[in-house]
Amino acid sequence: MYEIEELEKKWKRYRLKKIFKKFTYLIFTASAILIISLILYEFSNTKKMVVANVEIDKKEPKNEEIPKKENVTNVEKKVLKEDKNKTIIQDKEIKKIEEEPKVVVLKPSTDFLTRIENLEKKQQTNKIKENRHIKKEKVEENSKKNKQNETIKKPKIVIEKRDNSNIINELIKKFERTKDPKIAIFLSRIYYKDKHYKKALEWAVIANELDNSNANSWILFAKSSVKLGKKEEAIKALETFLSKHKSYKTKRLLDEIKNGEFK
Amino acid sequence: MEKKSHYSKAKECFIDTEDAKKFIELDQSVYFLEKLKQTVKKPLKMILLYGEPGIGKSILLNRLYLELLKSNSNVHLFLSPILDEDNFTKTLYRKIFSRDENIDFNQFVDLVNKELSFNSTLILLDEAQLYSNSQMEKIRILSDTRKIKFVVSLHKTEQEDLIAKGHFQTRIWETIELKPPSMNELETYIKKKLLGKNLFNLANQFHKKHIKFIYKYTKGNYRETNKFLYHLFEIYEYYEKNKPSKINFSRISKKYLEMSAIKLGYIDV
Ligand SMILES: Nc1ncnc2c1ncn2[C@@H]1O[C@H](COP(=O)(O)OP(=O)(O)OP(=O)(O)O)[C@@H](O)[C@H]1O
Ligand SMILES: [Mg+2]
Repeated sequence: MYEIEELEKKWKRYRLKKIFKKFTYLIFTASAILIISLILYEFSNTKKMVVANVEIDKKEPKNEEIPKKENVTNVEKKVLKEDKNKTIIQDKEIKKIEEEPKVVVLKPSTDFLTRIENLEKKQQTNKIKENRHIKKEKVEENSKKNKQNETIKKPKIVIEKRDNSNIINELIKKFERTKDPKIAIFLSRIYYKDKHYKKALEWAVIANELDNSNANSWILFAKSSVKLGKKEEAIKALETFLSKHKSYKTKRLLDEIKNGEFK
Repeated sequence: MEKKSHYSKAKECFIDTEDAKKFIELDQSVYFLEKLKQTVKKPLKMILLYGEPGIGKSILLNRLYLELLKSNSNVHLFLSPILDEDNFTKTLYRKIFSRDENIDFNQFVDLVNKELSFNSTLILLDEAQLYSNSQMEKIRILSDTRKIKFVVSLHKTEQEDLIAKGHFQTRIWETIELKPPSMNELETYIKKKLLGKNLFNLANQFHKKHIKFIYKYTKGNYRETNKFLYHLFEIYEYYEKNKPSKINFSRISKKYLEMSAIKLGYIDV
């Protein structure tokens, strides 16, 4: 029957159409989903940007939070390198800067934010450099005014950990108030870790003067001495301590120094 | 002699018929048949049976006639309308009184009043929408004698027209509307049709989804469903003869169902 073959051809056309329809529908929905998610993504980004800006605007004068170390580290390094030859006074300055009420609040959450932060930091670093120059020149003249200036213009940066200066300054102050030998030991340990052996030795001696029964002050003295090339003094000190006290830790260090394991 | 294929037999199942013997007992049809049987016993002047074309009015009327005949000889069925006015009176006269003289309508009414007893005669009129107004007026006059009662079957749209005609409003005492079957009922219909010809295998091959597909297009209308299945099995017949390898003998083919739908214009290509 010719008729039914015609019908089959029609049916094939119908099937093709149906498949085509399904296919286009699929493509349509897929692209719709894609577009929507792109829009949503863009939207959320813009939102974050706005939020970030608002946060910075709001919190800059308020000084509520301390920026995260990771973001500051790079800048710190730069600052530190440049400030290598600065004295403790400068350290104190930095510390004061930190204590200034104005602190940038940087809450990194997106790439975008990090970029902004970096930008800001660059600006800050530059400002710091400028300020420092000015300061160096005018240190003796009018330090108070200078400080005020700094506070006003100021880049507010918190320098932490990297050189332990804050903690050290804090601890020195506290030590001056309390004369606590534990603080002296702690300071000695910090300087030792920072490879400031001279200072470590000084603080070990201070601690030892206040409390010569604490093995830690002897150990820190010995270690710093060795590092400063005064191996004999180290051995002598440790032996003195061991003649009066029993300390396994001290004994082991003594042995290590003697046989050259500890250098 | 060549044995008829199953598909050919199945195809023949779905040829339109009003044959009362092919009446299938479905929920709705049984219900209405009983209802009609009860209603015709009541002293009503007229009963209206209506519903869309192809919904099963004619076959129901036929079935009613067949069943009533068993107990009552005064039932008369007019399947196709008597279009000629004079012929109309003559045909009624011949049927009711079993005589064959020429008679005019007034004489006929007199005779009815004289010779028939109260509520004794039932006349079933199919396709009543085809009767003229004057014929309908005659039917009204006859029903007013209370000796002859009419069951009038017509399409739904005409039913509204008829009821709107004032002089019928008071006479239609009962109306029965036939509605399209549910999907389950249609499934029963299709399967009972096939089982009636011992086509068990084919009946089993119809699953819900096939019925659903058919129902989607025919909306349950029996005549439309008949056409659909007639074409389906015609397609099967063709492939069986010419490309038997293409046929899956264990299940109804979606492709052939779609081809039938295309053929019937349900699907545009
Ligand atoms: N209960 C049933 N059993 C068997 N076949 C049925 C049944 N109901 C309907 N049909 C089938 O449906 C088809 C249409 O039915 P029918 O001719 O009675 O419809 P109709 O309502 O009289 O339509 P029309 O208004 O066009 O006269 C017929 O072929 C008939 O065989
Ligand atoms: Mg009919």
